[in-house]
Amino acid sequence: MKKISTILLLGLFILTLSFAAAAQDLSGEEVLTNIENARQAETASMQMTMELYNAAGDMRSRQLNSRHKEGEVEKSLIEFTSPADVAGTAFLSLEDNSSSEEDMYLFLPVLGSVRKISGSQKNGNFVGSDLSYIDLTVFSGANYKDNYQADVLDSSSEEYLLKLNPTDPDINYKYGKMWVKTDIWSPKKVEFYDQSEELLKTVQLEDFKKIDNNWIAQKITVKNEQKGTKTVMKMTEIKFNINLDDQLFTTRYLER
Amino acid sequence: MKKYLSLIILITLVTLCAFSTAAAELPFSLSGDFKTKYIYDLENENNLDQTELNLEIEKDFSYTGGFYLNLGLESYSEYLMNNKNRETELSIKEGYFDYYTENIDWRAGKQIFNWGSSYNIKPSNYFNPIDIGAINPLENREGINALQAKYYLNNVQHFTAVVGLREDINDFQQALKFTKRRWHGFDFSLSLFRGNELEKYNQNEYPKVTKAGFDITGDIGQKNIGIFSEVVYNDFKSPIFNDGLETVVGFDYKFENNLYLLGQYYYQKRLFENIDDSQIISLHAEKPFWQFHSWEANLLYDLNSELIVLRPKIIYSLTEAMEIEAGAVLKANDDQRSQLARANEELIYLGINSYF
Repeated sequence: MKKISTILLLGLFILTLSFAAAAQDLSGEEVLTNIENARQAETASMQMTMELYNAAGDMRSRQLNSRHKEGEVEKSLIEFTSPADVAGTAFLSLEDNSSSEEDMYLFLPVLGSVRKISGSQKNGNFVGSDLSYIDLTVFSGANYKDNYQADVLDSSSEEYLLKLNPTDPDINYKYGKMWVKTDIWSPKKVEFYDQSEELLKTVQLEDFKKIDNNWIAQKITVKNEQKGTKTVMKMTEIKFNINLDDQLFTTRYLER
Repeated sequence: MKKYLSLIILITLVTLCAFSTAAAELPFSLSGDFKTKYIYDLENENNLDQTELNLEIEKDFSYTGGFYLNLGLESYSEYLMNNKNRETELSIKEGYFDYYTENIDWRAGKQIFNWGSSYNIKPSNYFNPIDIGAINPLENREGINALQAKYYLNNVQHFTAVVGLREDINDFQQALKFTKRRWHGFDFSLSLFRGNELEKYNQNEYPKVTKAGFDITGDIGQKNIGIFSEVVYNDFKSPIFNDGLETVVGFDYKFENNLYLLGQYYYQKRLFENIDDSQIISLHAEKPFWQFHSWEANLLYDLNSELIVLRPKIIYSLTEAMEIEAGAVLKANDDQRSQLARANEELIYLGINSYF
C-alpha cells in the first residue's frame, strides 16, 4: 500500500514538474505570437453596440459596423448607425504596411463630404469611449508585437500572465499586465498602468465564441479605474474571411 | 405670434410621433432634427427665437444611385421698425439625385459642395453662399442648383466638374477640380472656377470672377500635427476690383486629454484701392467633459480693424439624441467696416436640439 502511494505521489510530482516546465517553455514573445496566430482572418465584419457609462452610471449607446481587411494596405471602415445624432458618421483608415504611413478620413453627414483628418486624432479616445485607438489593437489581436514587448510574470497550464512593455512611443501607458487563456490563446483580462504606475484601465474580455476558426470575445468591458467611467462593447454579428470589396474602403464609397 | 409657434411645435410633435412608429415600414430612410432657440440680441436688446425642423429623406440604390432630400421648416422672430414679426419658411435645403456608373458619379439637384480643407473661411468654397440668418453663418451654407460629375481615374485620383445656376443672380457658375489623395501622406486638389463672387460688393453686384485654386491637407512630424492650406488667385472681370491672392494656412492637433485645437491665418488682397488687405486669425478649441457633453470656443481676430469675435458654446447631452445648447457671440473693438462684424451679431442663446 505504501509502495502504491509513493508511486502515486512521485507520479503527481513528476506531472506537476512537467506542467510547470511546459508552461515555462514559452517566452513572452512566443505567447504574443500564439495570440496572433490564433486569429488569422484576412477580413472581418462586425456589428456592435457600444455602451458608454459616465461616473454616475448614466448610459449612452452607439451602434456601429466595423469592417477590416488585411493586405499591403491595411483597411478599416467604421460606420455609426445610431443614435440619430451620430448616424452616418464614418471613419476610414488606410495603413500602408511597407511605409507605416496611415491616412485617415472622416465623413460627417452634416458636411456631406469627406475630410482627411490628422494622425493626432488617434491621441484621444475612440468616439468618446474609454478606449484609445491603440487599445483597439488589443481586441483585434493582430498587432501586439508591433506595440509591445512581453515578459512572462507567471504561468500555469491554463493561463499566462504577461507584463507588456510598450515599444511604440505613442503609447502612454507605463506598462500593462495581460492574462492569456492558453486553451484558445486569447487575452481574458488586461490592466494598463499610467506613468505613476497607478492602475488606469481594466479590460475584461468575456463570452468567447469560435467563429470561422477564430475565437473572439463577444463582450468587452473597459473600465477607467481613475475616472470611474466604463465602456461595454457587445458584438451582435461577427463574420470572418468574407468577401469585402476594396471599393468599400475608399473615399468614393464614403461620399456616396 | 404665439399661435404660430404653438402650431409649429404641434406639427413637429405629431410628425415625430408618426415617423417614429412608421419609419420602419417606409421604403426610404427618414431622419432629421428639431432645434429651437431663445436668443437675446445684445446689440439691439431684443428677444428673439428660432425654431427649425429638418427632415431628411434618403434612398440608396446600392451601387447604382439614390436620392436625398432635406426639407427645412423654419419659424423665427425678427424686428422691423421696432415691431416684432414672425416669419415662417419652408425650403428645400438640399435635394438631389445620384447616378453611379463605373467611373463617373453624377449628382443633379440642389446641393452643398464644401470644397476646401480650412476651417469655416474657405477661399475654394466657390459655390455656396453663407446663410446670413444662421447664428453661425460661416458654418451654414446655402445650397445651389447644380450638375456635378466626378470622374474617377482610380481610388486616389479624380476630376470633378460642376455647372451650377445661382438663383439670386440667374447666372451660371462652372468649375473643374482635380483631386489626388494619399500622396506622401497628403491630399491635394487643383481647381478652376468661372462665375460670381459669393458676396455682394459695389451697388449690390456679385462681381464676375475667374479663380484658380490649390488646396492641400496632411500631417507633419512625429506628432502627426495636421496642416492645411488653400491658395486662390482671383481674376475679376471688372477693372474696379483688384486681382490677387486669397489664402489660408492652418494647423490642427488633438491632445491625449481629447482637447482639439485648430489655428489658421487668412489673407485676402484688398479688393478696392481705398481699403486694406484682409487678415483674419481663427482659433478653435473643443473638448468633451463628463463623458457625454462638450464645450467649444471659436475666436476670430481681424488684424486690421482689431475686431475680436468670440463664440463660446456648451452642448449638454440630456438623453440619447437630445441636447441643450447654450452659447454666445461676443465682440470686442466692434468695427462695422470689418466683414466679420457684419456676419456676427452680438447675442446669447439657449436652445434644445433633438435628433431622430
